[in-house]
Amino acid sequence: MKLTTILTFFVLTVCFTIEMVAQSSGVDRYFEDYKEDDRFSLITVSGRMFSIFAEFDMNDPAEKHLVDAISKLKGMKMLIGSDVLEARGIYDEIVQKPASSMEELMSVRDSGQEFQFFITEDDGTISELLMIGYQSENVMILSLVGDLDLQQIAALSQKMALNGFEHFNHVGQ
Amino acid sequence: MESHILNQLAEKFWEGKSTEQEEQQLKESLLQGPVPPELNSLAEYLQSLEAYRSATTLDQEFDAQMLAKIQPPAPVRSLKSGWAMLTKIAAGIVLLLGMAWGIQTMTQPQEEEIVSEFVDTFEDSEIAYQEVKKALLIVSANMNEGLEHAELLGEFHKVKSEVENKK
Repeated sequence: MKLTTILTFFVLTVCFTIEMVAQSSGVDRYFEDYKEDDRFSLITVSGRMFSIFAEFDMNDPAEKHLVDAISKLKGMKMLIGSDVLEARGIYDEIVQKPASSMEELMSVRDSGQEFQFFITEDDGTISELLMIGYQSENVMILSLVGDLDLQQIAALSQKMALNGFEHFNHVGQ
Repeated sequence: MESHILNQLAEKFWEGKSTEQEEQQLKESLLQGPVPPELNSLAEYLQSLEAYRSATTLDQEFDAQMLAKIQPPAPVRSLKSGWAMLTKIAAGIVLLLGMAWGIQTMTQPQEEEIVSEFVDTFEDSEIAYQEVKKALLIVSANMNEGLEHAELLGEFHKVKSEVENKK
C-alpha cells in the first residue's frame, strides 16, 4: 500500500515536471498560431544551414564579420507580420510570454515602435536571444539559438548600412 | 487363574452377561496362558481379535506424523514471506529504474528537437543567408539604439554625479 502511494506520487511529480518543461517556452505557441495567418511569414533556418554559411568565402570584411557572428548559431526562427492592424496588441500580448528561464536584456521605445530583447544565459554564455517588436502595422518575433556574441551582433549595423525596419517588408520575399 | 473360574467367565462371556472387568480378566488370562484345552477356541478367537485391533488402531506416532505433514514447519513459512517481500522491493526498484530511464530518454530527445524544429524554409543557402542577414541587421540596429540610450543614460548619471560632487 505504502509502495503504491509513493509510486503514484512519483509518477504524478514526473508528469507535472514534463508538462512544466513543455510549457516553459511560451512564445513558441505564437509561431504556431500565426504561421497559418496570411499576414504573417514564418522563416526558419537550421543549424545545418548556419554551418554552410560558415564555409562561405567572403571578400567583403563586413560580410566576413556577419559570417563570424552567425557561424555558431544552431537555429533561427522568425515570424513577421505586415499590415497587421492590431500589431501593437499582439506585441503587448507576446511580450508578456517569454519562457520563464529568459531574462529581459533591454527594451527600445520610440514613437509608434517598440522592441524588447530577452536572453537565456548559462554560465556567462548567451544561448538564446529573443527579440519581440512592432512598428506601426508590422510585428516581429525573432528567436536566435546557439552560441551568441551580442557585441558582434551589435557591431553589424555599424558595418552594414541598414537600419531598423527598413527591410521589414522585404523579409521573406 | 483356576480353570473352573475361567470356565465360568467364559460361560458368562458367551451368554453376554460378563461385566467389562470380567471380560478383561478372561482376555488377559487366556492371552497370557496357560489355557485349559476346552477354552482353546475362545483363546484363539480373542488372540485374532487382539491382532486385528492392534493392526487397525492408530498409534500416537501416527498423529504426530500426520500433523507434521499438514502443518509445514514455521521457519519455512517465514522464509517464504521474506522472499515475497524481496520480490516486491525488487519490482519497485526495477520500476523506478525504468522510469528514470524513461525520463532520461524523454528529456534527451527534447534537446535534439530544439535543433531539429528549425526546418529550413529555404533550400538555397544563398537566399537563407540573405534572410538571416536582414533579420540580424534589424536586431543589430535596434540593439544599438537601445545601447545608445543606455550610454546616454550612463552619461546622464555621470554628469549628475559630477554635479552632485561639486555641490
